[in-house]
Amino acid sequence: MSGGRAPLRLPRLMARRLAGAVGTLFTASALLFLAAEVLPGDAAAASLGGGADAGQIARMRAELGLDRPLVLRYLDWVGSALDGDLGTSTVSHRPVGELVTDPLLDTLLLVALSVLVTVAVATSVGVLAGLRPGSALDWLLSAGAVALVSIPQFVTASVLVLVFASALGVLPAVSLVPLGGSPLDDPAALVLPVAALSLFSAAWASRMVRASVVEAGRSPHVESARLAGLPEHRVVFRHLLPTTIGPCLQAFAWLTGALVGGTAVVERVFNYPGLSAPLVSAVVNHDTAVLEGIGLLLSGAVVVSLLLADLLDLVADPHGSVAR
Amino acid sequence: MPTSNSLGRRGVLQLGAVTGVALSGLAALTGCGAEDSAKSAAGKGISTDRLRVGAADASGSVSIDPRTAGFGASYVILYHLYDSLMYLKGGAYELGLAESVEANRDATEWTIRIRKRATFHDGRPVTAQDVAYSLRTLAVPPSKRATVYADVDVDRIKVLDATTLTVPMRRPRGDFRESVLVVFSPVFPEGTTDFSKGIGSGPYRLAAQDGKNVRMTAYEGYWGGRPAFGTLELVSIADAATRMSALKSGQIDYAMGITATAAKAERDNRAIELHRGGVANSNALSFAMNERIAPFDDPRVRRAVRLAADRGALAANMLDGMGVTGDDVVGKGLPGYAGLAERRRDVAEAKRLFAEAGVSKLTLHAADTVAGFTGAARLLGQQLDEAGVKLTVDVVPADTYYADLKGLSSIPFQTFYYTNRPAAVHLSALTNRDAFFNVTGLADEHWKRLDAAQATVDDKAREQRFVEIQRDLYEHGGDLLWGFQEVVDASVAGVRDVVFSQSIPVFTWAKASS
Amino acid sequence: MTDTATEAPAAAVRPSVPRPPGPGPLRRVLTGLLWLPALAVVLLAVAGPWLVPGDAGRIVGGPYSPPGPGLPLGTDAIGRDVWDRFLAGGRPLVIVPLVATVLTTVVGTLLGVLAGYLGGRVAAVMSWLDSLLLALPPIVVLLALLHGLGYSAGTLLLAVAATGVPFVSRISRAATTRVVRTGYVDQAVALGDGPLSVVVREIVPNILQPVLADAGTRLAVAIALTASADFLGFGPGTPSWAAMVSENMEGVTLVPWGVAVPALGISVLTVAANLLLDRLAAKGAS
Repeated sequence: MSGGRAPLRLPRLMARRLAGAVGTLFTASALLFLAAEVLPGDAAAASLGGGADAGQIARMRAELGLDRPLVLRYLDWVGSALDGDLGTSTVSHRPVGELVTDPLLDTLLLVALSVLVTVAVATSVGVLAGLRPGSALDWLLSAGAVALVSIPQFVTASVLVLVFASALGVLPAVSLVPLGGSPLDDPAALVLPVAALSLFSAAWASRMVRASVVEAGRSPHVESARLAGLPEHRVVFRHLLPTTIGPCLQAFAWLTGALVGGTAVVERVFNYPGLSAPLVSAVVNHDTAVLEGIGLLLSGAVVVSLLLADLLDLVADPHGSVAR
Repeated sequence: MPTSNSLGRRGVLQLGAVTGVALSGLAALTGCGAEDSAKSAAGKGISTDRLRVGAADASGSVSIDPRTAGFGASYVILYHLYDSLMYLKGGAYELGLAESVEANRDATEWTIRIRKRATFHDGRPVTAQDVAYSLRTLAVPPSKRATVYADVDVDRIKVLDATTLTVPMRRPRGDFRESVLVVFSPVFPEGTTDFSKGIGSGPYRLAAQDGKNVRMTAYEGYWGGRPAFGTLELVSIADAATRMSALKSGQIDYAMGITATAAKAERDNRAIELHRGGVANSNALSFAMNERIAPFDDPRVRRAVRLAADRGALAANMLDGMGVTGDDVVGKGLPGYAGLAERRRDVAEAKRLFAEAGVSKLTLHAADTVAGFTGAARLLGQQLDEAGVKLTVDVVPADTYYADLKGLSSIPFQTFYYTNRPAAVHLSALTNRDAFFNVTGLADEHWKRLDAAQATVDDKAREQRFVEIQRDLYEHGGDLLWGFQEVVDASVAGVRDVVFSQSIPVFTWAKASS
Repeated sequence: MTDTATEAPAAAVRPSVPRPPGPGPLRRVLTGLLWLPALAVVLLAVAGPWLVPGDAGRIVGGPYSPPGPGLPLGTDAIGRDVWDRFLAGGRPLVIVPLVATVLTTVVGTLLGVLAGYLGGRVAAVMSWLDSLLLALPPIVVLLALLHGLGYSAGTLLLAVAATGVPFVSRISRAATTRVVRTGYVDQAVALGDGPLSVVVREIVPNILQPVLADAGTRLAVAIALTASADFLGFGPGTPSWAAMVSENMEGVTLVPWGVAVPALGISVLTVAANLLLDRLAAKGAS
């Protein structure tokens, strides 16, 4: 079916994807900036508190540079961001980059672990359910997956705390980072946050895997392998599963985005030292620079994970992508 | 779905490898988890190697600079890195680094003599020169205590010998010991400008810090003897419930400030021990009315609000047995308290006064600066309702409540708490002319009374004057101070002899026992 | 034609529950068992606020008082009646997400059909726009809007729509393209049908099934986003199941109902929403 690769086209395709991702990130940053700065909530009024009069607010706006045209402010912001400068917090007066570096690494660690667990669990569950569609096992796994996908993550997380920390007392309910350490120093504290994040995404991804497996199971290619009398495990591992890699890879990449978003809520439940706390308090305190900085980093993480999956897919199967 | 077979197979292998890694990682995680929590949840006493203390940190990052640090976790650190000349232990004044503090005849000059054997963490002996330098540093900005030291004439401090110095006052201050030294008097080496090394003469020395957590080790050369716990670690955890969870899961050994709910929930848990501060170490909870802003400039309105409140119900709801009701003045249960009559609820009188003053609605600015404060505010709303006044509770975020200290003084009606301290200490430190905030809108008349009291040399006569100020605030002041919420800390079983000083736990004399 | 990076796999194969296995009667019983509690919770959520005798914000006792006479589920963190607050706190999770889902689905479908029907540059631009919005995690969009607009039903609607429309438009575009390729459209045009009539008579009926199937996910996401805003503390302070979960977590060993009951309510509500739209989609398909 693959009538020979076209090695010359691959780098060009990859470059196009890369450019597309950069463009996406730029425009997404503009949207974020718009949402944060154009809408009526004003950093100047917020940083002065309730008692400020119009004159004070105007002076503060000038001081914060809020009286300049929006486009200039956006270009300034993007320009500095490219230099690695995300601005200064209007509340703590510390550089945003410095404020968010450690939390960002902690959040990425949580996401990375959750992706690993998700891929492992979703693949096994999806394949198990998809090999015998309509069976009792399939129904059970599917029903469980739909329930877990439907229930908001903070509910799942709270239930995990209730069961494993409050009732059974086998796992810590909070994630503390020791002095100069990382969350990895206390792996036990990572179990519940990772589980809370992974349950949702594994449930979702397992449905994708199942669907691909079901579809692949009906393909003429697999049918003919069966008819040829190959042993079932050989059919499954050599002929059925390989065809499901492409679509699954995409599903997992999308999940990384969902996981990044999910951390905002799950971290809160476990008091995990990631980006959730600074993000939420930035909104509460109208700290626009911190909000934009974190938003940019998070959407950057999503775009990068999508790009990675895309490039992997391209390397694995350049023709499929072109055909689509 | 077009695919390429050969690459697909390699993909499967890769996926398999990743899966394997992930599964073994998960297994490792759970394995460690079981082991770790088995160790901690056993609760079989505590070793003296280290004590990990979880504390709130209201300013967002822990500061160890004695000039600017001031809340929660930062305070605990200062108490252990630095010796104070004097301090409050439970409800009593104690001498710390100072051996004696004596006034001349008219209290215009004080003589301080310090201990001879005290040394700084870098080995140098503590001298009168160092004390003089410390007082001078604390008396000027950026020191946050500059107003406390406003009457100390720092330019004329004289060092008599290695351990003696005289401290002249700009005006007579009979209350120098309790109103200045007891409030805050850490001593650091002469010439210190970089406070990041934390060199003092206290029982612990600074080992490491990262802006959120601080590690200190016992100082062998401490004049009072090496403290029992080898390492003292401060872990900042903003939320009280989280501190409790961390304690229960063995991530910390001591949780500073837990809620009454948590205390109640762990009553029967033998692995957890409560450390209660009593009324001497409590938060005085107030709904503060600003006398300078309408409608609270009308004394009838202030009186009506005070009478409409059901203090018993408020205390039952928010303190839950961990505290007592208050009668509008700070200092209950401590030296110098005026022994004021219990303020009883009188809805009929409140109703009459509100009607007379023409007040039918009020707005209260509320924040959970103390857990449960906004709940109490809502309950006050129900109580005012019975007196015919509609209260709007305007809830604002707690974590930045103190970001604008000056702005607090322009809020008409707000939830506010003070650390319960002896009346003289409280009145001198927080109600003077230059205090950070003036949430009840105190004015000249009060400050004149305060000046007169502070200038009185005779201990008895001075105490009497402070009592009169308390009576005045009881009759006409702006605080509806309805309760004293005991400081309640919790630790793993076996932590003994933790002492409270101004609601802050001090571990200098703490011991471990099973 | 379009970047695969922007191709959401959520489109065709969304999570759905296959019919329960076993013979007919057993299957019906199983299905019934799934539906009864779901219906009860939805009814309770909508009608609940009418059933509260007084003010659900009233402090009636000490914090975390155990259940007793007049207090079937005890009190919450500041001494309010958990049962009253449960009754009063479900409706926001039904009304706002429902309206938001309808809005999202209608707008997304319109855009998708337009792009799919017109094709070419319009489709390319639309696909690019979708990819932009998809690069922003929904919770970030929600927080940015909360930052700018404050908490209101409008803010939530906007957040749900902004994060949901790209998914819907992508699905309806793909479905429309399929329909256009079948040739029915060409046929209809050849017979003299105008564009509007083609869209209404040929396209919409044929793309209804995937769109409805996706609406289940949209509704679940809408409920999750609405609940997350409350959970993170941005709610208006009126009773809400999501806020109850976070407010009462500390006292969960004293009065578990303050967390367990609203958490159960949210769970049943979201699962029911998903199942309902799933069945609708299945009906539409058959």
